[in-house]
Amino acid sequence: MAALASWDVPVARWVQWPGNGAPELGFIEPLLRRRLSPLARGALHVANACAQGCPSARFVFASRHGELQRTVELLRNLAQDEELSPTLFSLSVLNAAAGIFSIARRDQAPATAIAAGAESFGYGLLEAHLRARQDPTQPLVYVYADAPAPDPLGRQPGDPEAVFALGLLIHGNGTIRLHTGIGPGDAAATPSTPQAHACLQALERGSADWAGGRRHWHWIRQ
Amino acid sequence: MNTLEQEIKTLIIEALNLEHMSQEDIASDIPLFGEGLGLDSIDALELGIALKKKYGIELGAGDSRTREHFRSVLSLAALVRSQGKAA
Repeated sequence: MAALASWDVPVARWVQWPGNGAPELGFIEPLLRRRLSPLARGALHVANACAQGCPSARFVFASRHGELQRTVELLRNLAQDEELSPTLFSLSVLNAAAGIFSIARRDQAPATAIAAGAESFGYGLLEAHLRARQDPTQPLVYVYADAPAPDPLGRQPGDPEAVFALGLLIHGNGTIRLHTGIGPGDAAATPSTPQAHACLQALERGSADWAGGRRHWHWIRQ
Repeated sequence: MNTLEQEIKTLIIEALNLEHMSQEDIASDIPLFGEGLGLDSIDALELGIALKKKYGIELGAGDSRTREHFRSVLSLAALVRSQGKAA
Protein backbone atom coordinates (compact mmCIF):
# COMPACT_ATOMS: atom_id res chain seq x y z
CA MET A 1 0.00 0.00 0.00
CA ALA A 2 1.49 3.34 -1.04
CA ALA A 3 1.64 5.75 1.84
CA LEU A 4 0.10 9.13 1.15
CA ALA A 5 1.87 10.69 4.07
CA SER A 6 3.92 9.62 7.04
CA TRP A 7 5.66 11.30 9.95
CA ASP A 8 7.36 10.53 13.24
CA VAL A 9 6.93 12.29 16.58
CA PRO A 10 9.16 11.89 19.63
CA VAL A 11 6.94 10.94 22.60
CA ALA A 12 8.24 11.54 26.12
CA ARG A 13 5.14 10.10 27.87
CA TRP A 14 1.50 9.31 27.34
CA VAL A 15 -1.51 9.24 29.66
CA GLN A 16 -4.98 7.84 29.06
CA TRP A 17 -8.36 8.42 30.73
CA PRO A 18 -10.10 6.59 32.31
CA GLY A 19 -7.06 5.51 34.27
CA ASN A 20 -6.45 4.56 37.88
CA GLY A 21 -8.54 6.51 40.39
CA ALA A 22 -10.24 9.88 40.08
CA PRO A 23 -9.09 12.64 37.71
CA GLU A 24 -6.46 14.87 39.32
CA LEU A 25 -7.70 18.41 38.78
CA GLY A 26 -6.22 20.12 41.84
CA PHE A 27 -4.26 22.46 39.56
CA ILE A 28 -7.56 24.12 38.64
CA GLU A 29 -9.10 26.33 41.30
CA PRO A 30 -12.56 25.17 42.47
CA LEU A 31 -14.42 28.19 41.04
CA LEU A 32 -13.06 27.33 37.58
CA ARG A 33 -13.27 23.56 38.01
CA ARG A 34 -16.97 23.51 38.92
CA ARG A 35 -17.99 24.36 35.35
CA LEU A 36 -16.11 21.51 33.68
CA SER A 37 -17.97 18.74 31.86
CA PRO A 38 -16.91 15.10 32.30
CA LEU A 39 -15.22 15.40 28.89
CA ALA A 40 -13.22 18.47 29.90
CA ARG A 41 -12.29 16.79 33.20
CA GLY A 42 -10.84 13.79 31.36
CA ALA A 43 -9.05 16.01 28.84
CA LEU A 44 -7.56 18.28 31.50
CA HIS A 45 -6.50 15.37 33.69
CA VAL A 46 -4.40 13.81 30.89
CA ALA A 47 -3.15 17.23 29.74
CA ASN A 48 -1.88 18.09 33.20
CA ALA A 49 -0.34 14.66 33.74
CA CYS A 50 1.52 15.00 30.43
CA ALA A 51 2.68 18.54 31.21
CA GLN A 52 4.22 17.68 34.60
CA GLY A 53 7.59 19.42 34.84
CA CYS A 54 6.88 21.73 31.89
CA PRO A 55 6.09 25.25 33.14
CA SER A 56 5.17 26.19 29.59
CA ALA A 57 3.93 23.87 26.84
CA ARG A 58 2.21 24.42 23.53
CA PHE A 59 -1.15 22.69 23.42
CA VAL A 60 -3.09 20.95 20.66
CA PHE A 61 -6.56 19.66 21.46
CA ALA A 62 -8.56 17.40 19.15
CA SER A 63 -12.11 16.15 19.54
CA ARG A 64 -14.71 14.94 17.09
CA HIS A 65 -17.70 16.16 19.06
CA GLY A 66 -16.17 18.48 21.63
CA GLU A 67 -18.79 19.82 24.06
CA LEU A 68 -21.66 18.74 21.81
CA GLN A 69 -23.65 17.66 24.88
CA ARG A 70 -23.78 21.33 25.92
CA THR A 71 -24.69 22.55 22.44
CA VAL A 72 -27.58 20.07 22.28
CA GLU A 73 -28.81 21.24 25.68
CA LEU A 74 -28.72 24.87 24.49
CA LEU A 75 -30.64 23.94 21.34
CA ARG A 76 -33.25 22.14 23.44
CA ASN A 77 -33.62 25.27 25.60
CA LEU A 78 -34.02 27.40 22.48
CA ALA A 79 -36.65 25.04 21.05
CA GLN A 80 -38.60 25.28 24.31
CA ASP A 81 -38.30 29.06 24.43
CA GLU A 82 -36.26 28.91 27.63
CA GLU A 83 -33.47 31.25 28.68
CA LEU A 84 -30.01 30.05 27.66
CA SER A 85 -27.48 29.32 30.35
CA PRO A 86 -24.46 31.66 30.02
CA THR A 87 -22.23 28.96 31.54
CA LEU A 88 -23.31 26.38 28.97
CA PHE A 89 -22.84 28.89 26.19
CA SER A 90 -19.39 30.05 27.20
CA LEU A 91 -18.07 26.50 27.58
CA SER A 92 -19.79 24.90 24.58
CA VAL A 93 -16.95 25.74 22.18
CA LEU A 94 -14.39 23.20 20.98
CA ASN A 95 -11.49 25.11 22.52
CA ALA A 96 -13.04 25.30 26.01
CA ALA A 97 -10.65 22.74 27.53
CA ALA A 98 -7.66 24.42 25.86
CA GLY A 99 -8.71 27.78 27.30
CA ILE A 100 -9.17 26.41 30.82
CA PHE A 101 -5.77 24.66 30.60
CA SER A 102 -4.10 27.94 29.68
CA ILE A 103 -5.89 29.92 32.41
CA ALA A 104 -5.31 27.34 35.17
CA ARG A 105 -1.60 27.00 34.38
CA ARG A 106 -1.10 30.69 33.66
CA ASP A 107 0.62 29.56 30.47
CA GLN A 108 0.31 31.79 27.41
CA ALA A 109 1.89 29.28 25.01
CA PRO A 110 -0.18 28.85 21.81
CA ALA A 111 -3.11 26.44 21.80
CA THR A 112 -5.04 24.97 18.86
CA ALA A 113 -8.30 23.01 18.84
CA ILE A 114 -9.31 20.94 15.83
CA ALA A 115 -12.04 18.49 14.79
CA ALA A 116 -11.92 16.17 11.78
CA GLY A 117 -14.78 13.68 12.08
CA ALA A 118 -13.89 10.10 12.92
CA GLU A 119 -10.26 10.89 12.07
CA SER A 120 -9.99 13.72 14.61
CA PHE A 121 -7.30 11.93 16.60
CA GLY A 122 -5.06 11.37 13.58
CA TYR A 123 -5.36 14.84 12.12
CA GLY A 124 -4.92 16.32 15.57
CA LEU A 125 -1.68 14.35 15.82
CA LEU A 126 -0.62 15.74 12.44
CA GLU A 127 -1.29 19.26 13.70
CA ALA A 128 0.69 18.49 16.86
CA HIS A 129 3.57 17.13 14.77
CA LEU A 130 3.72 20.23 12.58
CA ARG A 131 3.56 22.51 15.61
CA ALA A 132 6.20 20.55 17.50
CA ARG A 133 8.53 20.57 14.48
CA GLN A 134 8.58 24.36 14.47
CA ASP A 135 10.60 24.19 17.70
CA PRO A 136 11.50 20.62 18.76
CA THR A 137 13.36 21.84 21.85
CA GLN A 138 10.08 23.03 23.43
CA PRO A 139 7.45 20.61 24.76
CA LEU A 140 4.02 20.23 23.21
CA VAL A 141 1.04 18.57 24.86
CA TYR A 142 -1.32 16.81 22.50
CA VAL A 143 -4.72 15.78 23.90
CA TYR A 144 -7.51 13.95 22.18
CA ALA A 145 -10.80 13.58 24.07
CA ASP A 146 -14.27 12.47 23.05
CA ALA A 147 -17.56 11.23 24.39
CA PRO A 148 -20.23 9.48 22.33
CA ALA A 149 -22.46 11.90 20.45
CA PRO A 150 -25.52 12.67 22.62
CA ASP A 151 -29.13 12.00 21.64
CA PRO A 152 -30.83 12.70 19.31
CA LEU A 153 -27.71 12.04 17.20
CA GLY A 154 -26.58 9.06 19.23
CA ARG A 155 -23.26 7.26 19.25
CA GLN A 156 -21.54 7.35 15.85
CA PRO A 157 -19.27 4.66 14.36
CA GLY A 158 -15.81 5.26 15.80
CA ASP A 159 -17.09 7.05 18.93
CA PRO A 160 -15.86 5.72 22.27
CA GLU A 161 -18.48 4.14 24.54
CA ALA A 162 -17.88 6.72 27.27
CA VAL A 163 -15.56 9.66 27.89
CA PHE A 164 -12.09 8.73 26.65
CA ALA A 165 -8.98 10.88 26.56
CA LEU A 166 -5.42 10.26 25.44
CA GLY A 167 -2.60 12.73 26.03
CA LEU A 168 0.93 12.70 24.59
CA LEU A 169 3.90 14.80 25.62
CA ILE A 170 5.77 15.46 22.39
CA HIS A 171 9.28 16.67 23.05
CA GLY A 172 12.59 16.45 21.18
CA ASN A 173 14.09 14.48 24.08
CA GLY A 174 11.31 11.84 23.99
CA THR A 175 12.75 8.32 23.73
CA ILE A 176 9.78 6.77 21.89
CA ARG A 177 9.41 7.45 18.18
CA LEU A 178 5.78 7.17 17.18
CA HIS A 179 5.44 6.61 13.44
CA THR A 180 2.15 7.48 11.70
CA GLY A 181 1.37 6.45 8.13
CA ILE A 182 -1.72 7.32 6.08
CA GLY A 183 -2.76 5.33 3.01
CA PRO A 184 -5.77 5.27 0.66
CA GLY A 185 -8.98 4.21 2.39
CA ASP A 186 -11.83 1.94 1.46
CA ALA A 187 -14.98 4.01 1.00
CA ALA A 188 -17.11 1.11 2.26
CA ALA A 189 -15.26 0.81 5.57
CA THR A 190 -16.85 2.18 8.72
CA PRO A 191 -14.74 2.50 11.85
CA SER A 192 -15.51 -0.12 14.48
CA THR A 193 -13.29 1.36 17.18
CA PRO A 194 -12.14 4.86 18.07
CA GLN A 195 -9.06 5.88 16.10
CA ALA A 196 -7.22 6.89 19.27
CA HIS A 197 -7.54 3.33 20.59
CA ALA A 198 -5.40 2.13 17.66
CA CYS A 199 -2.64 4.60 18.49
CA LEU A 200 -2.79 3.62 22.16
CA GLN A 201 -2.49 -0.02 21.14
CA ALA A 202 0.60 0.81 19.07
CA LEU A 203 2.15 2.69 22.01
CA GLU A 204 1.50 -0.28 24.30
CA ARG A 205 2.18 -3.21 21.97
CA GLY A 206 4.18 -1.97 18.98
CA SER A 207 1.83 -1.39 16.07
CA ALA A 208 -1.82 -1.07 15.06
CA ASP A 209 -4.00 -0.28 12.06
CA TRP A 210 -7.25 1.62 11.77
CA ALA A 211 -9.56 1.89 8.78
CA GLY A 212 -12.32 4.45 8.81
CA GLY A 213 -13.43 5.06 5.27
CA ARG A 214 -11.55 8.08 4.02
CA ARG A 215 -8.05 6.91 4.94
CA HIS A 216 -6.21 3.89 6.25
CA TRP A 217 -4.00 4.75 9.21
CA HIS A 218 -1.25 2.81 10.87
CA TRP A 219 0.94 3.47 13.87
CA ILE A 220 4.27 1.92 14.81
CA ARG A 221 6.15 2.44 18.04
CA GLN A 222 9.89 2.59 17.28
CA MET B 1 -32.70 30.03 60.59
CA ASN B 2 -34.42 32.08 57.96
CA THR B 3 -36.06 29.80 55.44
CA LEU B 4 -35.93 32.14 52.45
CA GLU B 5 -32.24 32.82 52.97
CA GLN B 6 -31.51 29.10 53.16
CA GLU B 7 -33.53 28.60 50.00
CA ILE B 8 -31.54 31.27 48.17
CA LYS B 9 -28.26 29.70 49.30
CA THR B 10 -29.38 26.38 47.88
CA LEU B 11 -30.43 28.12 44.66
CA ILE B 12 -26.98 29.74 44.38
CA ILE B 13 -25.17 26.46 45.00
CA GLU B 14 -27.26 24.56 42.48
CA ALA B 15 -27.54 27.19 39.75
CA LEU B 16 -23.83 27.98 39.88
CA ASN B 17 -22.51 24.43 40.40
CA LEU B 18 -20.70 25.33 43.61
CA GLU B 19 -19.91 21.66 44.11
CA HIS B 20 -17.27 22.45 46.73
CA MET B 21 -19.69 24.43 48.95
CA SER B 22 -22.62 23.89 51.27
CA GLN B 23 -25.16 26.29 52.78
CA GLU B 24 -22.97 26.73 55.86
CA ASP B 25 -20.12 28.07 53.71
CA ILE B 26 -22.19 31.02 52.51
CA ALA B 27 -22.73 33.61 55.23
CA SER B 28 -25.89 35.60 54.55
CA ASP B 29 -24.00 38.91 54.49
CA ILE B 30 -20.86 37.84 52.60
CA PRO B 31 -20.39 39.68 49.27
CA LEU B 32 -21.24 37.25 46.46
CA PHE B 33 -19.09 38.84 43.78
CA GLY B 34 -15.43 39.79 43.69
CA GLU B 35 -13.98 39.65 47.19
CA GLY B 36 -16.04 37.30 49.31
CA LEU B 37 -17.52 34.32 47.50
CA GLY B 38 -15.59 35.21 44.33
CA LEU B 39 -18.38 34.78 41.79
CA ASP B 40 -17.97 36.34 38.32
CA SER B 41 -20.05 38.02 35.63
CA ILE B 42 -21.23 34.70 34.12
CA ASP B 43 -22.51 33.75 37.59
CA ALA B 44 -24.42 37.05 37.77
CA LEU B 45 -26.20 36.24 34.49
CA GLU B 46 -26.83 32.64 35.56
CA LEU B 47 -28.20 33.78 38.92
CA GLY B 48 -30.46 36.31 37.19
CA ILE B 49 -31.99 33.49 35.14
CA ALA B 50 -32.42 31.28 38.21
CA LEU B 51 -34.16 34.08 40.15
CA LYS B 52 -36.49 34.72 37.23
CA LYS B 53 -37.34 31.02 36.95
CA LYS B 54 -37.93 30.46 40.64
CA TYR B 55 -39.40 33.76 41.84
CA GLY B 56 -40.51 35.49 38.64
CA ILE B 57 -38.20 38.41 39.25
CA GLU B 58 -37.32 40.49 36.19
CA LEU B 59 -34.08 42.38 36.48
CA GLY B 60 -33.46 45.15 33.96
CA ALA B 61 -29.96 45.14 32.47
CA GLY B 62 -29.82 48.91 32.89
CA ASP B 63 -31.21 48.95 36.41
CA SER B 64 -28.64 50.63 38.61
CA ARG B 65 -30.04 48.87 41.69
CA THR B 66 -29.22 45.41 40.31
CA ARG B 67 -25.68 45.58 41.67
CA GLU B 68 -27.06 46.34 45.14
CA HIS B 69 -29.66 43.53 44.93
CA PHE B 70 -26.90 41.06 44.03
CA ARG B 71 -24.62 42.08 46.87
CA SER B 72 -25.39 39.22 49.27
CA VAL B 73 -27.90 36.55 50.21
CA LEU B 74 -29.53 39.10 52.55
CA SER B 75 -30.07 41.66 49.78
CA LEU B 76 -31.38 38.96 47.42
CA ALA B 77 -33.83 37.82 50.12
CA ALA B 78 -35.02 41.40 50.53
CA LEU B 79 -35.50 41.63 46.75
CA VAL B 80 -37.51 38.40 46.67
CA ARG B 81 -39.67 39.55 49.61
CA SER B 82 -40.48 42.86 47.93
CA GLN B 83 -40.86 41.75 44.29
CA GLY B 84 -40.99 38.00 44.08
CA LYS B 85 -44.02 35.84 43.55
CA ALA B 86 -44.45 33.06 46.07
CA ALA B 87 -42.31 30.14 44.92
